Amino acid sequence: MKAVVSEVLEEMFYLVPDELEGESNPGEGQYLAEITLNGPRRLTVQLLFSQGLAEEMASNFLPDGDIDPSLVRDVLRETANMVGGNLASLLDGDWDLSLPEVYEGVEAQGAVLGREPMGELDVEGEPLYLYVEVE
Amino acid sequence: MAFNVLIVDDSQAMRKMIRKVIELSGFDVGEMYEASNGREALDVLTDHWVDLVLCDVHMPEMDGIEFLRRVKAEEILKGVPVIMVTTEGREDVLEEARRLGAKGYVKKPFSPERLKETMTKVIGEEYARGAQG
Repeated sequence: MKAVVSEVLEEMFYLVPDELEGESNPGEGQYLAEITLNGPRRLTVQLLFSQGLAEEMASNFLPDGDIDPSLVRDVLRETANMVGGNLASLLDGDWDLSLPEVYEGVEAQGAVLGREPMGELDVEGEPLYLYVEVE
Repeated sequence: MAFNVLIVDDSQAMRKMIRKVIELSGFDVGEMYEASNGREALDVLTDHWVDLVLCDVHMPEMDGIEFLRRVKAEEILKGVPVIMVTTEGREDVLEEARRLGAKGYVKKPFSPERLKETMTKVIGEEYARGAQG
């Protein structure tokens, strides 16, 4: 999962993630991008981004000065789509992807409330928290 | 000679990113059109001359595979080269795309160089074929 996320961040956004060191604080997450893989099991992948990371990704992805909040959400949706698609190709069996969703603020926090992230990355000074739910 | 490109993706951000890559690649591009699903793309192809289509697979309303099927069924459109730009990695889906006439495949995430290489290969082949015909 971390390898897939790292590949997407490096290839599309020119950002190099590392393991998060120091205090973990998912409460600083502002945007949650989510995609579900339906196959032999049901996997829900969630990526919780800080405001700064989301804006930096959009800034690196889009032409200069062409950023508004709807485009930031769109970039994060596409990120979840790429992570989900590449994760599916690594798993055995046939997996269908849902359309990705993005939640913001309280909704984003509520979606992962009380859960431990399965991975925490430091993306050039900004945190990214990874969650996977298996049903 | 300049060629016209149609970018089909439900993500506005991805369309903008691909447009930027093409602009920076030095291709002699004329018009660049955009569509957010296969149905809109068919409308663009009906109204405008397009030399190359870059198309996602997973889109609401009409996906990229159904779009290819419709393009292949239309005599006037079936020669337009289509490159699939997608997260889709399932071989059966990619094989179906090839069977329906897709000329190239770029897997997301991709580097600008990868997209440029694939476009060069497809446009080069198509232009060479036209010159021979």
